[in-house]
Amino acid sequence: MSVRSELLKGILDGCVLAIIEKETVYGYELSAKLQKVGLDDVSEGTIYPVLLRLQKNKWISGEMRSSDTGPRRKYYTLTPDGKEALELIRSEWGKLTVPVTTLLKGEVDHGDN
Amino acid sequence: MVTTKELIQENNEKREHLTEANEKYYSNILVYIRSRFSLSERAMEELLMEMLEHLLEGQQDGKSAEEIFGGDPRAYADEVIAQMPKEKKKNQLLYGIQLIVGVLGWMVLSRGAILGILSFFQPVDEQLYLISTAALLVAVLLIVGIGVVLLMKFVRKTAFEEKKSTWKFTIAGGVFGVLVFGLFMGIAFFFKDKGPAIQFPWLASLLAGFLLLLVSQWIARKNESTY
Repeated sequence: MSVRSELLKGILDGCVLAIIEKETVYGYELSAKLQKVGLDDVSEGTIYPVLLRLQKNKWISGEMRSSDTGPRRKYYTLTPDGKEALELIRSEWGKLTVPVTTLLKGEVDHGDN
Repeated sequence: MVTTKELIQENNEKREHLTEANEKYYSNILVYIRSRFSLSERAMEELLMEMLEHLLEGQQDGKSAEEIFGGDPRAYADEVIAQMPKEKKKNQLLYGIQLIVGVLGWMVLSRGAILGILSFFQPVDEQLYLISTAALLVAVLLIVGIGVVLLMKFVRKTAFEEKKSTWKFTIAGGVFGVLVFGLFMGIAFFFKDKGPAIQFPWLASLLAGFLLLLVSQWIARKNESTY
């Protein structure tokens, strides 16, 4: 597994929630959107275990829409609980990125001077 | 809302639009996932339909199943299974009852049919010995239960094998068949005409069997509507 997908693992739930927050999507659409923003080394199938987990947590709800012809799709929408979870992920991510970026840039003096 | 049965039907039809390689990859996963009885059937079929639609759409964009779901289908299926909701206890119980009533129905129905046909040629004994019958019923249910569990174990083990080894299956099936035959001979010998007997004519048996099968169907439909 590449470093990027290893790093992405923990935050993928948040990414999926953020996309579903904007609009109701189905699986293929969701994976296309992830790829479009640049998360293109996540294998497309990865979203299904994620979607199942988010449904289990009651953060999203899925509805199989009936159509007599053409594809049968399951559309996902964010629940109020999911909205709350997403807000939490957002604020936690914000708190992480600043110190991590600073550290990785090597701009921290380690108190040596 | 679409029923689970309709989803399964639709899955069968749509699967035919897959390319040969994609169909093989997908069908292996399908068999592997469906062999899990403890999982919610509804969730299972919805997910399988999503995967199938995804694969069909990806296929049109020139993608293969390996590219979409990864090179290790068993690992992928295990990952999905780990996140899938369990079947509700109530549904599992109803499913068990439906199966028992169904097996009982077939037994009573075939007894009626066999005695009915025989009665045209020779006088038949229409007595039903309660203890013998109970022993036979327990044995049949046990065999159906064990048979199904063994079959699912086998399916799970071999789902992703490149060359399906039919000889292993043949041998296992043969051994099972011999054991079943032995069990029935044993019951016929040790439980012959045991217990109080009641008069149960073949026509009544035929009708009762038919009725039990109807009840089993009714439970199945009842069960489906509670998802």
